[in-house]
Amino acid sequence: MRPSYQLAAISGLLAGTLPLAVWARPITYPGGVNVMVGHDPLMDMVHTDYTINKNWAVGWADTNYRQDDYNTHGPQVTRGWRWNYPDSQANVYVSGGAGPTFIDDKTRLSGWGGASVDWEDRRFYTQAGTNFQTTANGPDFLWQSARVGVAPYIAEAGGLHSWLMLQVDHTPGEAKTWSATPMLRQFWGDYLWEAGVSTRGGVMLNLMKTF
Amino acid sequence: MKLQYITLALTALSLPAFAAESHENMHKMPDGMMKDMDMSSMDKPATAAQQAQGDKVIIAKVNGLVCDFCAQAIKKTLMKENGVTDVKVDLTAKTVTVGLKADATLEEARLKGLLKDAGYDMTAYKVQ
Ligand SMILES: [Cu+2]
Repeated sequence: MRPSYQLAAISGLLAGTLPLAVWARPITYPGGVNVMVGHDPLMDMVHTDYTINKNWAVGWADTNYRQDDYNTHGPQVTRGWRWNYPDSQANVYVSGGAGPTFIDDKTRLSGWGGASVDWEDRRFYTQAGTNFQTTANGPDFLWQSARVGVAPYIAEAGGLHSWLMLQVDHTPGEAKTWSATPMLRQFWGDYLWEAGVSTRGGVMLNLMKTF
Repeated sequence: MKLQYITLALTALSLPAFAAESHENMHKMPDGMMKDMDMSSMDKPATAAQQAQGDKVIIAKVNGLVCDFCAQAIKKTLMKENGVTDVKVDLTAKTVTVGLKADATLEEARLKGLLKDAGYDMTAYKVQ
């Protein structure tokens, strides 16, 4: 089967069955560490991931579900696949983790997972993903999202890379199930940052640095 | 549930791009058969600013180069290799140029393996 059809099949499957990290890129070069700090109207998160090789990363996730007032912490594992083309690349990430959730002065065990598929060249970007968390005797969280982006200009290596993006979120367990966030993404050196305003009310701010 | 259709639609939208690029891929020579001749099919030669400096310079054509994080990952991976003095990535020419000390070597298979480990695919190799 040609890679393009494999990817289409996998992404279709993921979109249909698995409830991911939208902007996170947990896997970098072998031995590298990605630190990601995110804030949006629903949550705050800090993810630190160490890349073992091009297919695997292990890390630690701290997530504060601010809106619903609980927080979760624990180790996570990510498996990645990449398809390289002359002018583009596509990635699939599947991740999962487990750890304690602190809610109402109680400690519960949670498990979480996610999947994401993206395709990008230097001009266009598409991504879709789904994340879930389940907590014993506690709340579940399901989050699906998709993104499209366009680069208004094409930057060279070492330059400032900019993307105009639109993210659409679906969170069936929240009072407002749908939201959209237009945003600006920029890359410079080892840094990636994003800033947007959500129709949910509030801002989205993400920062990632590779060490 | 509607989101599933949106994601499927997005995937479908990106398919023509895949199809076009798979077609291009067919022109790629099998492993081990890469020749200097291949390099002449580069869309654009590496610009002077994107060319590594060194006593010896190797140019590799690489698939999957789309953003600065790709460039960073490749630089960090290759700079760890003995004898490598400079690495430049040209996102437009899709090339990685590697500067080496005069007494150093970086064989085709070794460079291909290092790039593979970093997550990229080398399709042509040339010692300048
Ligand atoms: Cu990249």
